[in-house]
Amino acid sequence: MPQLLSIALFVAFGMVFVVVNLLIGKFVRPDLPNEEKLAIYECGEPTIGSSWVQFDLRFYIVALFYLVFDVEVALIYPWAVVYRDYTLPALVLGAPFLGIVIIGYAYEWYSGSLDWVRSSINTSYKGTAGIDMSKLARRDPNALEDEALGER
Amino acid sequence: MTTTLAQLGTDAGLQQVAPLLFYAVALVTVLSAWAIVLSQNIVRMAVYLLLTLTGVAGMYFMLDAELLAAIQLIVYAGGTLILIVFGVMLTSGNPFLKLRPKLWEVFVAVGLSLFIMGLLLFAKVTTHLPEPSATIEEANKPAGYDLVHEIGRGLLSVYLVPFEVAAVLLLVVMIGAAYMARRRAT
Repeated sequence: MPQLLSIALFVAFGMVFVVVNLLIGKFVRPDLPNEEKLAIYECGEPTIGSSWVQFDLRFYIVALFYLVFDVEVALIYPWAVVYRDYTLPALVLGAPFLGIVIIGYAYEWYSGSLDWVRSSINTSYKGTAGIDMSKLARRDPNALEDEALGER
Repeated sequence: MTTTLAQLGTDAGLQQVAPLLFYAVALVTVLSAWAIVLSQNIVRMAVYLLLTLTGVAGMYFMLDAELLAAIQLIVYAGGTLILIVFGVMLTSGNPFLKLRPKLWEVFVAVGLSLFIMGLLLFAKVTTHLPEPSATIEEANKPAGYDLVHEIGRGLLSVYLVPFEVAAVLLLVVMIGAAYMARRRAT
């Protein structure tokens, strides 16, 4: 419970800190909006279209990997806590756990699911060998897909 | 600061703060859960879901289940929610798409909610909970008691098989993800 109190105080202080500073800023700063200032800031570049575009499927694989290793960390944490007290049994019993997960990782690596640019198996572009991906990446995906389909 | 907090923790003063904390956390949890239902924008729903999951983690903290609270934050708030947001980013061309449930869906959802609420109330009424007291807590927790340590020992002894099976499950998920991603392209 004292831990919880510390956390609650921390969270409360964090919230108050943000709100108070934003409020002070609101009262102190001059308010002179113009069109240029109200524009969406994108590192100084003029914005093109909406940012709500469909992302590449490859990101989903990365997210799934993240989730898998996230769960693994959650499971491995109690194991790591007792490791100091039962070094040998923990090592012997934990090795299969880590080994099985690493087999999966090695499989992904071997099968090319982790390759970002080179592999075409897990992209939505049906590219073939000999295509300059860096050049094609700047073009319209739909036109690219039609072209790739036309080649077959 | 920490010493004063620790002193406060041993004092009866904390016993008066605890209900306030509970109500604050419960309010955040329930209000954001309500907001998920009311909101029609799927991205906002995801953000409200984050608040709800964090509130539930706070409840776990209050129940002295620190590991469960941490797992709730790491796996649900940190992992599953990211996956939901990624799913939205990858599937929906327009995230401001309004979600309009059909009438039968509303009926099913309301019926299911009422059923679960009835079940919980039934459990609350029929279950006899022991009075929380310092003596019970002290009896259950001898000096130097560490919950995470206890769970770790369990994972290496009584629950060794589930521990190893979990690794196999993670392996299956990884291979399944790679397989699905590959099928999508062909």
